[in-house]
Amino acid sequence: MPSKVNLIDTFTMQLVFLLSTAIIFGSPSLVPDSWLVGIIAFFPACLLIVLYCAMLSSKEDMGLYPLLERAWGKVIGKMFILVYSTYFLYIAARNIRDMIELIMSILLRITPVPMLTTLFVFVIAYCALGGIHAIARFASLILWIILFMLATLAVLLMFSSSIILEQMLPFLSKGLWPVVQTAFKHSIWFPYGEIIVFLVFQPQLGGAKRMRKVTFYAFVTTCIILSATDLIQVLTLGIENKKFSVFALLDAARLINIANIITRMDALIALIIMFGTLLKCAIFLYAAMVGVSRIFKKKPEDYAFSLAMLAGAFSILVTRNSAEHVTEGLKYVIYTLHIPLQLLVPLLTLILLRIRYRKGATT
Amino acid sequence: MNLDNHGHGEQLSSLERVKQFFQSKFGQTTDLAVVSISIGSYEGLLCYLTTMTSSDFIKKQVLKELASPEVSSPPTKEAVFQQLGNNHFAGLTHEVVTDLEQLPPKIVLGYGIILIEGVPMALAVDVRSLNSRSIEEPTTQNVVRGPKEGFTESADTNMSLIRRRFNNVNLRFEKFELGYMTHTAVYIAYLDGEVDTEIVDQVREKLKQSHIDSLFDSGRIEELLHSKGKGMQLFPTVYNSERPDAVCRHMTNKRIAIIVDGSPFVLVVPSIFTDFFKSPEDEYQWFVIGSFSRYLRYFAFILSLTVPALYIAVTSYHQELIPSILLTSIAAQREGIPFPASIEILLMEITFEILREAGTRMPRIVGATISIVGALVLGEAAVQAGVVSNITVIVVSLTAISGFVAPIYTFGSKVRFFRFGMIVLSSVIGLYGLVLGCCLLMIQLTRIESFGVPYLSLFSKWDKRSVT
Repeated sequence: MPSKVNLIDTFTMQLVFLLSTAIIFGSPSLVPDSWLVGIIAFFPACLLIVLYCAMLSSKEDMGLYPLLERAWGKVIGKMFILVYSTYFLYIAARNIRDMIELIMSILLRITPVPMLTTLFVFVIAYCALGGIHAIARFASLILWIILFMLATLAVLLMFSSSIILEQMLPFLSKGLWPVVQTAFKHSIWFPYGEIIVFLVFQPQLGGAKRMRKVTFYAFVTTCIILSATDLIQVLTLGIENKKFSVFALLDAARLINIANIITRMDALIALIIMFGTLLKCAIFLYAAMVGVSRIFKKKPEDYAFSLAMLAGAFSILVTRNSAEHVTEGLKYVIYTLHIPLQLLVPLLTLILLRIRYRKGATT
Repeated sequence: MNLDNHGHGEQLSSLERVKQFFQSKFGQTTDLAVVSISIGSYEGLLCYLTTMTSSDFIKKQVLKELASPEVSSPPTKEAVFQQLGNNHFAGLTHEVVTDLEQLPPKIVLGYGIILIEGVPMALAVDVRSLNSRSIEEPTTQNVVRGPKEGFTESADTNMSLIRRRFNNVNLRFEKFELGYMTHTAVYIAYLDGEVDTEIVDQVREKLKQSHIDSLFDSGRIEELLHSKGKGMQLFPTVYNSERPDAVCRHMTNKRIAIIVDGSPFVLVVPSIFTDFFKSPEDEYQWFVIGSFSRYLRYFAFILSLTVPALYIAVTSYHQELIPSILLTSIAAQREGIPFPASIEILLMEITFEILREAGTRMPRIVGATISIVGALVLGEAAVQAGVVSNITVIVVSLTAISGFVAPIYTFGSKVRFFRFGMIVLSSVIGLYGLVLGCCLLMIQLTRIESFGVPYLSLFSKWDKRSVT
C-alpha cells in the first residue's frame, strides 16, 4: 500500500496543473466575452469528474493503466496504455513549445531553441524522478508564487489605472450561444479535461472518494481564478486587442507603469509561468513514464531522461512555426486527441467495466 | 592469557594473577594504578586509571570509605563486599563483577576496581572525575533574550542540561558506543510517547550499523544520519545546536536529540527546512517580532542566493528590465571597467570567500588586520583603481551579509555553493538560467526526506506524520 499524498497537496497539485498554461493563454478569444467561457465550461467539466470517478470506483481505485487492461484485455489494454503514454508525452511537448515560444518572444530572442529546450527538459526529468509526492510538494511552492504574481499584477494594474470597466462592453453582443459553443469546443478539454492524467496516480492520491471532492474544489478554484484573469485581460486590453494577442496576460502586464520605476513586469511574469509549465510537464512526463514502464517492465525512473528528451524533440519537430502550433492546438488536437482520449475511451472503458464486472459477479 | 572457561571466578581470588592479567592487558601504560590496600584485616587491591579520575576523588570517596571502622571488622570476606556496595558506595555507580575479562573495559571507562584476596568477586565503582569546561554562553547561536547556557564537551553535563529542563518521567536516554578505536559514548534522547517509534528505530539501526574508527565531534555522525538515496545531499537534514533550550524545544516537537561525548554540538533528527531558520529567541519575544525576523531570514536566504545572479542576468542580457534612470547610472559606473559583469562578480565573490575563510581560521589577535585589508584595500581601492564597479561591491556585500543571517552556520555555508551555481547559469543564459536554477533548488528541496519526513512541505500541518 503506497503512502498517500496529503489532501491539500493533492489539491494544490491539481490547481497548479490546471492553471499553469491556461493562465497565459486564457480562454481562447474566439468570442467577445471570453471570460464567460471559463465559467460556462466549468459545469460540463464537472461531468468529466463524475465519469472518471465512476470509472475508478468500479474497480477499487486501481489507476488508469490497470483499469484499461482490466476492461480491454491484455493486448488491447496495452495498446491503449501506449496510446495514453504517447498522448501525455505529446501534451507535455506542446506545453514545452508554448513556454519556449514565450521565452523566445520576450527574453532570449537569438538563443538557439534546442539549447533552451534541452535545459528545460532536464529539469523536468529531474522533477519527475522525485515521484508524485515530491511533485505534489513542489506544486504547493509553485502555487504561492503564481497566486502572489496574479495578485500583484491585479494591484499594479489598478494603480497604473489601466483597468477600464467600459472595455468589457459590448456585453454578449451576439447572445449566449457562441459562448456556450466555445465552452464545449475548447475549454472543457483544455484545461479541465487534462485532469485525466491524475487517474494514473490514483493509488497514491486516494481513489475515487478523495478525487471527487478534491478535483471538484480544484475545478471551482481554477474556474474562479481563470475567469478573474480573463476579466483582467479584457478590462485592460479591450475586446479587440485581446482577440489578436497571443499571450494576453503578458500584454496586459506590459501596461503596468508606476512612476516610471515599476515597468516591464511582463518578463518577470514570463519567468513565473515557467514554474507552472515545469510542474505540468513533470506530471505528464511522470504519467508517461509509469505507462511505458508498465509495458516494458522496468522501473519508471529508467525512462525519465530518455522520455524527457523525446518530449523536447517532439516540441521542436512537431510544428514548423508558432502560427501552425496555435492552429494545431485549437483545431486538430481537440478533435483527434482530446475528445477521443478524454471522453470516448474512458466512457467505453466504464461501460466495459460495468458489463464485465457486474456487482457480485466474479471473473 | 591462560584463562580457562570454567575458572573465571577463581582467577579473581588470586591477586597475583589479577596483577599479571592487567600487566598483559595494559602493557606498560603509566596511568594504570594498581595499589595494594588493606581492607580491615584482609589484603586487597585497588586498580584505576589515574587519567580518568583525580587523586582527590580517590582519597575522599574511596580510601576514606575503605578505612572506615565498620569495614575494619567484618564477619567474613564476602560480607565486606556487601557492606561496601550497600553502604559506602551506594551514592556512586557500582557493580559486582565476577568475570576477569570484564574488568579492563570497566577500567577504561573510569571505574575503580576493588579486589580482596581469596574472594572470587570484584567490586567496580565509578570513580570517574574529569576536568571539563564549565557551562558557558554558546558561541554560535547568540540570543539577546533567553537562556545563556550552552552545551559543553562533556556528555554528562549535556544530558543534565536537558534533564533539568524536562522534569518528566518520559525523557529517555539511550547509550551507544561508536568507533572501534575510540569507543565514544553516544546518547540519544527523546520523549517517550511523543516521538515516532519508527524513527527512533531507524536512528538506533543507523548508529549500530555505523562503521567508523573514531569520533571526536558530532559532525561525523551528522553524515551517518543524512538521508541517502533520493538525490544528492545538498541541504543539511540534521540540525545541530549548542543551545539546550533549542534542542529541548525540538524534542517537544517529536524530535530525537543525539549527544556525542566530546562535542558541544547536539544533533537533532529529523529536521526540516524551516528548522534552520528558527532561532530560539523568536519564541521569547512578542510573536509578531519573532515571525517578522523569521520571514526576514527567508528573504535574506533568497537574496543571498539570487542577487549576484540577478545582477549579472539583468545587466548583461535583459537591460530593458531595469528602470531607465538606474540603467544609466549603472552604465556610467561600469564605463571604465575592463571585465564583463559576470567576471567582475565572480572575482569579488571569490575574494570575499577567501576573506571569510581567513577571518574564521586566523588567531583572534590578528583579526583586525583582516577587516582593514578587506574593507579598505578590496572595497575602496578596487573601485578607485577601476577594477570593479561600485555597484558590484554593493551587490557582493549585500549577498555576503544576507548569507550570514541563517541562524545555523552549516546551512549558511551550503548556500554559498548554490550561489556560485546560479552565477554560472545566469552568465550563460540570463534570467532563463536563473529561473531554471531556482526550479532545480526547489525540486531538490521538495524531494529530500529526512527519516521519512518531507524536508519542505508547506502544508505539512495537515499531514498526520508531521513534525512541525
